[in-house]
Amino acid sequence: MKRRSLITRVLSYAFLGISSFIMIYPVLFMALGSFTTNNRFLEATILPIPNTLNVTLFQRAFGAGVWDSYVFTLKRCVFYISVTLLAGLIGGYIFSKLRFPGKNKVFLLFLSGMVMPGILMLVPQYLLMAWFPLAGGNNILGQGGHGFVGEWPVLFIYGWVPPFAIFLLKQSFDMLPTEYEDAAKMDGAGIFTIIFRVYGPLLKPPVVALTIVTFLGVWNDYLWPSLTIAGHPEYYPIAYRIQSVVLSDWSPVGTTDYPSVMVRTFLATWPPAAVYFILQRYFVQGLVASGLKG
Amino acid sequence: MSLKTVTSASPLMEEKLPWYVRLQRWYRRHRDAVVAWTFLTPMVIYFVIMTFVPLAFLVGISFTEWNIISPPRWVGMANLQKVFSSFDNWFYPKVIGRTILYAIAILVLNIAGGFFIALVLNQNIKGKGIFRTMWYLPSVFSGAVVALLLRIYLAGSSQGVLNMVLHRLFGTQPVDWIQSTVWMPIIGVLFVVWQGIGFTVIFFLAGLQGIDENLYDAAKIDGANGRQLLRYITIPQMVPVLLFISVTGMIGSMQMWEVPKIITAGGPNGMTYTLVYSIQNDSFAALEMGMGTAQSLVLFIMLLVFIGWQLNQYRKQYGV
Repeated sequence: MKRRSLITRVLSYAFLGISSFIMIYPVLFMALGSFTTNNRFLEATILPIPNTLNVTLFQRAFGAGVWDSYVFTLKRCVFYISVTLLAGLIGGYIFSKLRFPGKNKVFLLFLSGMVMPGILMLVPQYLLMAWFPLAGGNNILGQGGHGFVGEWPVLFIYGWVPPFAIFLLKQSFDMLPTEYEDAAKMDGAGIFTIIFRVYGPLLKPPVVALTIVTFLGVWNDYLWPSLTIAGHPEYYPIAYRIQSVVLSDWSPVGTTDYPSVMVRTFLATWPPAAVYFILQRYFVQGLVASGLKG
Repeated sequence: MSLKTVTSASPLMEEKLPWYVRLQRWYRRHRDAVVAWTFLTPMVIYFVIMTFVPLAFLVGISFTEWNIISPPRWVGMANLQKVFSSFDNWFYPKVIGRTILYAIAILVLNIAGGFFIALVLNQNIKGKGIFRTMWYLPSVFSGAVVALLLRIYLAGSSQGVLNMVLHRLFGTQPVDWIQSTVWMPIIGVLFVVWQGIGFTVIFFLAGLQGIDENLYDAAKIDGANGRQLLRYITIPQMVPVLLFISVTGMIGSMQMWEVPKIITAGGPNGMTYTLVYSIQNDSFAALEMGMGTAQSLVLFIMLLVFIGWQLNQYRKQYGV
């Protein structure tokens, strides 16, 4: 019995080691490749190993509007994280702690947003933006101009009522006893004090999880910007910027300067990885809480 | 609590009180509803405009022929009929069938693989956190950016990264991966599984850790072997997680778009031409908005039917 468990153990480690390496191999290859000179890169067997720290590529890669995209994408992340947490906390509190007519109906209405595949709504949501009344030269009926398409608000206007955040925080509020707010109410505390001062500190894991999920979602957003903001490079979010920069100077035939391509993908992928590594404990907790009770 | 006795005074007395006092009392009685609807009214209005107005567009446009430039023309069910007809050598039914096949392959690999990894990780293993982190890592990246990276790796010349590494390791000849009707569908499936399996592992792992140890102990005393433990305790206990994963996984895997959009443009020979890519192509490249929205509608209904069927199966088998 003991011997068998030793074998299983060794096999498990070997399996996990090899499989985990395969999982991160493409990303590791890219990360190492972006610090390598081209000649060294072409000598790579399993992984390119930089012999000197080659950072000149980074300086060059940053030139192509990447820095502007960093700033713009970060603004978008901050905006969406604030909106998600604000609407999520208020909505979660209302649906968890208050009793009022119509509660279940409204909750179901919001939940329906979770089963609607976002990808299918791209076309009609694009049309709503193009036909938005009084925007971008449109008249009151939404005709005549280009609406919000091609202007920065198009990247900020959707998603102010986040169903997933409301749902997750409602579950979290449900687990906190109402006694917490009774004392605060006696002292005449308003709804904002109750939500943000009384419950807020107790909701750290789901709030951090939502912050990460929102950050990842906005940082990685590609399809919506590719439809609505194409041709306006000053508003390119990072994922779209990298895509357009790489495809404009990379061709599948002939010799390619791989490291300079890898550097660009590295610039788009290191922030999500960093955020995930630093905050992963909360991330797992928060995510799991949403699924297992849902 | 003392407020309650005050507000329940007789209505006759209340008539004589000044309006602001009555308003105050009314507010005290209906505080929850007033607070809730103050915040919910704008949220509901916003939500309906931003979600249901586009949904109405979607349904409406699917009955028209429209190229954005000239005004739309009502064609009734013609678009939907075209999606299910033999038009262009059964083009659209093939797209739908292909999408379903991809979704099934992705879902099966994702769930079976994720469950197996979670079982291995659930043993008493050192460095569990590191392995879990490595398995989840691909999921945090933008699908578009890693697909771009894959496209660069798969370049067909002997200078292509994958060809180069395989040649150094095994001495193989270069393969034009992206043009290969054998390899590209497999690579496409593996790519989607690679990006999504971390999520499955995390959820299965959490589910496994939530199973009561006493169940295993009791079964062991009754002489159950490892396989029986898995069959009669682990799997039934995991049904809620399995349900969650299969529903979210189904929605995700039916929407495969990175591979056709970024890597193959639907090729080789239409092998990766999925429904979502077809919707995008018809809507924004061919400017056939009617066809694009009709296919969106079909995908949406297919998802609803699949999910309903899955829920029903679980209900029948496990009484969830």
